[in-house]
Amino acid sequence: MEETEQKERAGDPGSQDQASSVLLEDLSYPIDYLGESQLVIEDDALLKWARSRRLSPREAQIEALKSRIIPLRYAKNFHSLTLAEQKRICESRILVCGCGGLGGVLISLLARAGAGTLRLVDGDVFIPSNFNRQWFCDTQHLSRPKAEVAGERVRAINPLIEVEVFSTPMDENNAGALVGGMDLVMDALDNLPSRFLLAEAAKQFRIPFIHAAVAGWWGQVSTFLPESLLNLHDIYGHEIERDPTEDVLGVLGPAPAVIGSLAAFEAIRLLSGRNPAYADQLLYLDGESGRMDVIPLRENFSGKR
Amino acid sequence: MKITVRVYATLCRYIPGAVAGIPFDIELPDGAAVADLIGKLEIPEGGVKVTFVNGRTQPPNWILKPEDEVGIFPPVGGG
Repeated sequence: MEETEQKERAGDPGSQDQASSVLLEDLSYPIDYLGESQLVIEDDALLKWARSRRLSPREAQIEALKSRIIPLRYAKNFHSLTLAEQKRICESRILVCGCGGLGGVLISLLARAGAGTLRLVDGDVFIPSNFNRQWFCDTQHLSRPKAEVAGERVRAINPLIEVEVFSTPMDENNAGALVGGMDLVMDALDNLPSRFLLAEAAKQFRIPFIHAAVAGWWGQVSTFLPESLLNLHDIYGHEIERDPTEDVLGVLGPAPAVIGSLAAFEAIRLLSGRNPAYADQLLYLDGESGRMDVIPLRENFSGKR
Repeated sequence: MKITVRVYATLCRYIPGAVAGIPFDIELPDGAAVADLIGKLEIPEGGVKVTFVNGRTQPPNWILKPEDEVGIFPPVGGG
């Protein structure tokens, strides 16, 4: 729809010239925010300006922030974030592997935060047992590919960002291509072999890697920066498959919601240029007791493999 | 020697009365290792992946000292 509009405008030189003469500043307006005047711009105005300049929405939101104009949808990110930090988030490219329980939460939050490009990967389709915890699994989405639905939801949540959808599983053949060019790799997968594969690809391309996992009442988050001497084997030991007893545990809805949110916080810290909270550490959530611990990891297993 | 232990998640089911994250004390012979503690608690070997002693992960052959605080939990893998 937008592409058609863009072509129509491009085919009409008169309207193109007129539109391109419109300044971003003319489409924005000041709001009073915490006692300061701040220029903001709404989605429709920014998208119109983007079309007139033949910019992608992603490029347009970066241009706005460069001009110190905040897309109104990000207004409440301030003063938690600086303008420069918001711009960094808008410029970032993130791979999210897994669009299920963890992925649904992560993807929603990153899209709302303005993460510039979201590359979404999942080879599964939604089934009825996903309803209890997977935010993108609605009654009308049963049997549909998870990544495709996630892509649609991202476009509905935030038209200013780019989304790339891969409805095929990640494997040895495509892992490098999926990871390449990303600023951050997020593990929201549901099996250990794929997690190890993704972690290795992130390491090979020297991209920060955030690991998140859940079962039952429990969940964990860990971050491995490219220079880290540790890896996922320092969490899982010599296990290469998920503990089969975990299937019996299932997953309670709040587990991926909390763990996905903690992983999204970690992503926002890294993307905005701040220090990670969980580098070489393991956050472990025990939802049953309500306790959460952050434990430093050390090289237990990786050096012995 | 006295060791303070915390167990998490599904490991609680192996220890009568244990509540996740709530510390309890256990007596072990001097020179006992992490693996000895796990044996004494009767936790099946396959169920333990991460053990931390005084806030750092340590391998099964790590020798414990009196008053050490040990946490044991099974990492999860679902999504």
